[in-house]
Parts: sequence; C-alpha cells; structure tokens
Amino acid sequence: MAAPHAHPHPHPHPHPHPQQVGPGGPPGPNVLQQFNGDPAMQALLDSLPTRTVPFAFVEAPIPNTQPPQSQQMVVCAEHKLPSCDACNVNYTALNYMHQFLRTAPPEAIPPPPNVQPPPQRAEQIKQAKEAGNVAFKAGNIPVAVQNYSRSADMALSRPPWELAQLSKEETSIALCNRSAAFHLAGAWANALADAEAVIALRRPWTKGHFRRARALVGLGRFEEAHDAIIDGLQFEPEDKELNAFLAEVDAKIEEQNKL
Amino acid sequence: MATSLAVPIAYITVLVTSLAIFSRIYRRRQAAEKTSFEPWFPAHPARDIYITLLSADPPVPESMLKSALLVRATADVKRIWRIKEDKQALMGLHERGLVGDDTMSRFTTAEKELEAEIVDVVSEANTFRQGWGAMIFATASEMAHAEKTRDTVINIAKVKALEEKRLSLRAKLLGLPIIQQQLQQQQQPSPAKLSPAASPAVSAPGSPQPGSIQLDSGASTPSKNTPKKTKTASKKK
Repeated sequence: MAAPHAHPHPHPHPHPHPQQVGPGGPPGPNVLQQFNGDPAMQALLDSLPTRTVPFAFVEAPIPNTQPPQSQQMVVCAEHKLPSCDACNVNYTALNYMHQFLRTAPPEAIPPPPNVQPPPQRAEQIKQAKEAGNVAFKAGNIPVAVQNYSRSADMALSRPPWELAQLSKEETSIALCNRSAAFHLAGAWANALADAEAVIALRRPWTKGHFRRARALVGLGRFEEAHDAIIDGLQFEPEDKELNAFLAEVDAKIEEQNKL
Repeated sequence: MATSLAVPIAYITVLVTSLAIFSRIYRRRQAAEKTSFEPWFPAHPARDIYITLLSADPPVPESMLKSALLVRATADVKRIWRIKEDKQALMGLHERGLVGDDTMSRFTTAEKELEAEIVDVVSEANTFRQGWGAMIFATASEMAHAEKTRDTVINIAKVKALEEKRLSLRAKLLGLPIIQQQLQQQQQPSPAKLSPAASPAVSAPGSPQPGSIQLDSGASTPSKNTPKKTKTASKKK
C-alpha cells in the first residue's frame, strides 16, 4: 500500500477501509487514528443504512462550445434523468460539481478557500457591470439589464470552492443595479424581486433596503416601503439616502390618509 | 389420586406459560419502541450516491468520485449547521421540560452519527490525496454558501411571478388605473396605445425620480423613459 492513491475500487460495501486498518496505521491526521482505534464509531458507521442508487452515464453536449464538446453526466438508470422523482434520485449537484472537476488533472483537488482566485474573472464581472452602468446612464435600459444579468451570472458561475463571500458580493451589486434599471423602466415587480434577493444575500447593506423601498413605492405600497426603510435603518441609522427617502415616503402616506 | 396431582400441575403450567408469553411480547414491544425512533435526518442521498459510485463495477472516473465526495461533504456541512441550530433550541426546551428524553436521545444519536460521518468523509478524502481531509470541509462550507447564493438568485423568478400575480389581483379589485400600470409592465404595448391622459396619472405615484436614483447621477429624465418601458418589458426575464 505504498502507492499514494491506494483506494479500493470496488469498495467493500458497508464501509470497512481495509487499507487503513493495516499495520502501522495511516500517517494521516490524528483524528484518523482515533477513528480507526474506535470500534464503536466504526460500528455506528456500518450500522447506518445505505441504499444503492440506480445510475447510468450519458454523454451530454455542453451548450455554447465550439467545436461542440460533450461531458459525462450521471443520470438515473431507468429514465435517464439527472433528477428523477420516480427513482428518488437527484444527481444535479454532482453533475454541477463535475463540470468543474472534469478537466482537472487526476491528482488535482480543489484548492482551499484561502487561495486567491485568478483575477481575470473578477475583471470580467466588473467590466460587465461597468458596461451596464454606461448603458444605464445613456438611458438604454434593456442593454443595461442584460449587462447586469451577465455580470450576476458570471459571479454565480465562479468555481464553487472559491470564497463564497466574493461571489455573493459581486452578485448582490449586479442585482442591486439591475433593480435600479428595472425601476427606471417601471417594471416594479422585477425591481422588487431583485431587491429582495439583494437583501437576502446581504442584509446589512442599506442599498438593498433602499431599492426595495423604492420598488414598493412604485407599486403604491407605501406602508410596506416605510417598513422596508426602517429595516434598513437598523443597520445604519445615519444613512442619508434612507432618511431622506423615509421623509418622502412618510409625506406620501400622510397624503394618502388625507384623501 | 392421579387427578388430584394433574390439576395443579396443569394449572401451574398454564399460568407460567401465559406469564412467559406475556413477558416476552411486552419486552419485545418495549425494545422496539426504544429503538424505533424516527431518525433526526431522514436519509443521506449524497452518501448513498458516493458509496454506490465507489463500489460501481466498471470503475467510475476519479473526477466523478471526487465530485460525489464533495457533494457529500456539502450535505454534511448543511447538517452541521442544522444540528448547531437545533441544539440550542432543544437544550432550552429540555431544561424547561418541554421536550422529552426520547427526543433528546434521538438528537444525541444524530450528533454521534454526524460525527462519524465527518470522520469518514475525512478519511475518504485522504485516500484520494494525503492531506485533502484537512481541507475538504473548508471547501465544502464554501460550496454550501455558494449554493445558498445560487438558490437565492434562482428564487428571484418565483418572487417576481408572485408579485405579478398579486398586482393583477389588485388590478382586478381596484379597477382601471392599476390595469394600465399592469399593461405597461407585462404586455408592453407601444406607448402610443396608452391614452395620454391616463399614463401620467398612473405613473405619478410611483414614477421614478431620476434625482434620487442612486446608481448614477443624472440617469435620465422621465421623458426619456417612456419609450424604454416597452423594450425592457419584453426582456424582463
């Protein structure tokens, strides 16, 4: 078992790890040795029920590649679906992850999250956002929305092992701007949906609350807009923008009550 | 003479047998009750997938196995979050006697199982490459966070549909003005279609104020807006 990759295919089914219980024990972290020396835990692990899931491989074409490439996908054995209710299996997450690992060399493992990701993608995401801003300023809302969506998509399709905080921030900025663009176009339902996503992603960020309040005003729901602003003010009570807008909304509510 | 002995013996036999049967059934039921807790977490599909792929007969490519292990670790990370959350609430409830011992024992079993599961994932990771076990859960936790972000964004469409449904309901109940607003958003007729008298009145309550749009300064004037409305609505999704 001197090979660095001694890893038994086929795996003896419910869980004994023969190569590790061997003499001398693995040189790995002490937690591993503890585990191997603990028959109770091993027994517990073996007692856990497992189910053999039906699966099959298919070659699925990857969209938007030139020349057309294909990738291996795991699907359910019977219906050839990646997510199948009848077979009670869902391979979506697995296939998603495999997209990122399939081209990696065999020994490669995902880097730990504290490794800095290559800066190109951040640059691209920023560029898309800037293009959106330019279109927004020029008043070309459809192009602005398109660019913001592209920026958000790119931020979301970062490799999943990278720092999640980064992708979250980039996504929320793009969505916040998209909400503003929708607002300008009068598409208030879209603006509201985007603003709510921004809040879910970054609650302490006042801009999300501001956008939500504006969308609600657009929908004519002043009371809710008032509450949204109060929500935002919890995080930054001195925020000028929010306070100004709060006064505006309150004036509107009063006006409405007079009628 | 013979009868006088046979009757008490029969009596005792019947008594002892019936007691024995009763005791056996009773104890079996008790034991079943003690071990038949519904598990804290229903099943672990990611673990099943990994084990199935690992023991598949024509060996599965290694990148697939690694992906499966990462997905399994991500599922475990979510369980860790859940256990942490549940623990505080349960402890409080248990102290006040609102939650029984059986629930607590279910919970402790789940905790132990999760611990074993984590150690197992770590050792599996080390079989792919020595030392990966120390990092896999850091990676998995980022993956779980990233998944949350993705779910939030996917949810946008649902929220939007809900809001639009609500809008149309409101339009039905309140009448004309909101119907007009609705038209602007959803079907985007050309601005000419909207009667000029109606459209300013409709957009008045919620018309965007260019001065306060925070993204850029001087974004646009309302007059610029009107033609845009039509275009955007078509590509809203």
